[in-house]
Amino acid sequence: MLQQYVKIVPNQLRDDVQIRMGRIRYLPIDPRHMVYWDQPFPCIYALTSSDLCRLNLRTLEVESFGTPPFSYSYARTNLFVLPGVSTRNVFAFYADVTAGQVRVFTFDIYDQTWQEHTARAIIDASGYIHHSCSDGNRFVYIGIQSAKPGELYRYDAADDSWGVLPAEDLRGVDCVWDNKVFASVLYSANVGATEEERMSRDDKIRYLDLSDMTWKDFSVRLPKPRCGWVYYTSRAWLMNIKGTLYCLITGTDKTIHGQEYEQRGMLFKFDADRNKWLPIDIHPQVSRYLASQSPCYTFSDTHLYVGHLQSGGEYVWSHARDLIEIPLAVLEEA
Amino acid sequence: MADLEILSETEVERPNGEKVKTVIAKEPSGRIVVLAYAGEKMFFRQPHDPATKKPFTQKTASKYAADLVRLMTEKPEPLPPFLEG
Repeated sequence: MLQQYVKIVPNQLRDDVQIRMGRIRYLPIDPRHMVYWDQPFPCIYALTSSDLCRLNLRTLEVESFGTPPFSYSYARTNLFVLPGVSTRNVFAFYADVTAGQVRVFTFDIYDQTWQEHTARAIIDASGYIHHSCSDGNRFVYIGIQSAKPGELYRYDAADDSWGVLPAEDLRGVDCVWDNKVFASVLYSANVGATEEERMSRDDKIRYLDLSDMTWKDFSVRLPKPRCGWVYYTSRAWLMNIKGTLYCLITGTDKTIHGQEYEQRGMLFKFDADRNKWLPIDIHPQVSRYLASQSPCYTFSDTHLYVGHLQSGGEYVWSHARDLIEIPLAVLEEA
Repeated sequence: MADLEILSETEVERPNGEKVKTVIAKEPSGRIVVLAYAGEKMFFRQPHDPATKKPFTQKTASKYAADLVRLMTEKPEPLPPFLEG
């Protein structure tokens, strides 16, 4: 099934903004999880609510590979490519609640067939793979959300084997950077707190130090959103993009239109030399699109791609099918 | 499937209405594999037991195929309310 779609760029974005901030493209799929790969051409592999598909980033053609061998579940699945291990397999991790296992499947992009690998029994069968990450080469870190103090496993794709890592009360893990596995960061819900209270909070970033396998506080706290943020969605996403640590904070801003809450996303870059977060100046339109509570994102050598998931709600920016394409050069300039 | 010796096959309907067929077959080499087809298209091929990494026997292949059917036919979990659209 091959379909051709036309690029649609909202006219609210001026040409100079598009160049500066990248494009917002109509996304002909509804990705739950997606991952960039340059095999067999620059593309995004995505799990939608019905199938695994591939979006050609040059032509925007979408190719469907049909339904995977597991049932669809938003929070129980994740996709990775591991170029250090395979040049032809997309890895899909699936939390099988009935069997109390995290199961590993690979999809061969040439044979277009799935195969299963060694599963890992989990302690809390109802646990979610809320967020997980890979080192981009060989290891995939799977954090299980619901059990306390949490579960953290490492899948070695080169050896098809699992290891158990110490876990804290984590919702998942976001990225590997500088031999550290960063835990997903969740702001405590505090709608109704005063602005002063919100801005003075002590938001630590926790990481698992892979050199001694202990959890530690990162030397720098989460970046502070600007004044006026309400933290409606209360989520920060840490990303390792080409060796640099970035943070995407999603929240609600009430300063733009008076009392009308509006979803916003803010990007920060970690300056390792100065040990501080630097805000990245992004266009308000792009900021709104970045505000999804559960964005799926991936990146190539040249662009950060953020797929949108939000589709409705009183405080939600309603553009379910957009792909935000931000040039990495913009991030690197910060 | 021409060069396969079919040992058993099961057809089921997935929650999305798609009909899939799970097949236990013996390849010319003697290896037992578990396959799944959507129509005529094979989309799943399991050459060994993932639990043991050993070749399938008919018994382990049957057990695995039954589990695969269960996995493929489980109803998808509903989206969290904030993602419904």
